Amino acid sequence: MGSLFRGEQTEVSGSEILSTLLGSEVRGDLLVLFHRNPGLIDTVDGVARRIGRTTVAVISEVRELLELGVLKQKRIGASEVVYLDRDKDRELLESVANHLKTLRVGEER
Amino acid sequence: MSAAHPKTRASEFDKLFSSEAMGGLRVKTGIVELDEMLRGGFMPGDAVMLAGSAGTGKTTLALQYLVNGVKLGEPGIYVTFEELPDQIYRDAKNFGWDLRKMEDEDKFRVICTSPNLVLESSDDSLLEDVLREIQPRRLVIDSLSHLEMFVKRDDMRMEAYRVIRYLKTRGVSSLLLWESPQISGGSFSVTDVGLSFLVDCTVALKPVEIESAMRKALVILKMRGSDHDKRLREFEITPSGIKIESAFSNYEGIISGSPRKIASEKFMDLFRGASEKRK
Amino acid sequence: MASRVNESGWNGPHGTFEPVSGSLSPDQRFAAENAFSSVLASTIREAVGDALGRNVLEILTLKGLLDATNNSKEFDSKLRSLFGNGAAVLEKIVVKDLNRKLGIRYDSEASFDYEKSLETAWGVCFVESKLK
Repeated sequence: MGSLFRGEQTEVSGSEILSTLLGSEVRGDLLVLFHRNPGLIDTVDGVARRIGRTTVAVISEVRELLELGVLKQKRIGASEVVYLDRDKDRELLESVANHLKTLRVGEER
Repeated sequence: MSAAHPKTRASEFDKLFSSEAMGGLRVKTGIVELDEMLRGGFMPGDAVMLAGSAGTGKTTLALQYLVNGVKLGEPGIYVTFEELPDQIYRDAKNFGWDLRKMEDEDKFRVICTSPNLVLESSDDSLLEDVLREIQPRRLVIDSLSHLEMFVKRDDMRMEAYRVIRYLKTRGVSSLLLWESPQISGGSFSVTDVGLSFLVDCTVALKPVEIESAMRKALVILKMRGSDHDKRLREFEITPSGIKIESAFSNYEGIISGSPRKIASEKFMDLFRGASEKRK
Repeated sequence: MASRVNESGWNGPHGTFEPVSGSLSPDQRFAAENAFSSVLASTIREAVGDALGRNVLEILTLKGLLDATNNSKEFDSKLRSLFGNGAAVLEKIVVKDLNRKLGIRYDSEASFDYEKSLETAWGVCFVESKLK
């Protein structure tokens, strides 16, 4: 399997970060998996197994999170593994928190 | 039955064999009685095998070793192949150990990965980032026996050696958990792939049946470069972690799986029984 | 929450449930409702915290979102006002966790309805209370 992500990360707003993080159910599952297990280092196959999904269902979602920067990848032997970038994750969630502070509950987005 | 070492003697041992007294040469577990048995603690940089069947308390002891290390200013890493970190955090919380807080303070990491990735990784890939990040003095692998699923039996020693060598060159004092094949009874073997000679120290945990109750025994089978307590000691898993009790000095054959009271104790039992009848 | 359970019974994944109103005393029912509310509230806090972090959870608490956990319609509406389509993702995380705690199977293929999912969980809680 080749590298999952080759692009560069650009600045994104809190709103865009939120849309990406909660863009799909699978992405939500991945977020929860890595936040509950921040030291998890595994292949996409392994990650898919841990959330009860197929690799096909998970791979594009993992790419989105890699593009956002919350996940990182590296090569271990013949395998590509993904893991949480704790600092970037903290930074992104801080942006989300700052964005949410500006919103009022009950008003339409 | 010999009395447990009183706390005053424990503190004397502590001073005599403390890391400071020996120029920082011991890695204390923080479990007072165990450090006494080890004459102050493990030797720094040693690879220690902690062997025992399922449920004997290996994970608890390993976590306690790391948590106590953090309290002593020695960051630690827990590498798990089986349990997700989520479960480790919860189990640790039950003993009052807040691992997430230690992680936030960059004193601790729980790493969860697959054994095959450890086998595939060359010397500078899988753990290198986290080793650089928190500069650990201690590391636990839970468990080395998971590698068996991914290697041929004949290659297991080589792979284990590679892992041990990697950790030693990083200056880390490692605790390698090994799931022993026997649950209770029968002959006792630490590993069935002959890994004992690769490690510097072997601590074995064994469940024993004595008078129809399951109890737990700890023994130091081997310790290179240091004297150590040769006795089997009973231990308990308490709400605050492992607590080591007195030696099983009234019994023999515990390791073999057929514990029996030693002759003098049997005589005392008969004597007491006869005295009771006469009353 | 209690008002959502149909007094004449309802169908769930575990089968058809008999009317529950007559099978628990008022005190037992009150205790069961409180227990469920408590489990639901803690599940929502864990799910949101684990998905978006403790800071976000604090902000949502200050904004009163977690005051509405017992009213699924109101909670859903507030969540959507903050997260838009992302609200459904958070709700699914909540339901998965709640189902796991209550031993209910989660079907990711089935169409998702937050209110109905909570009713199912509520029903299982009631049955558990009856069995105790």
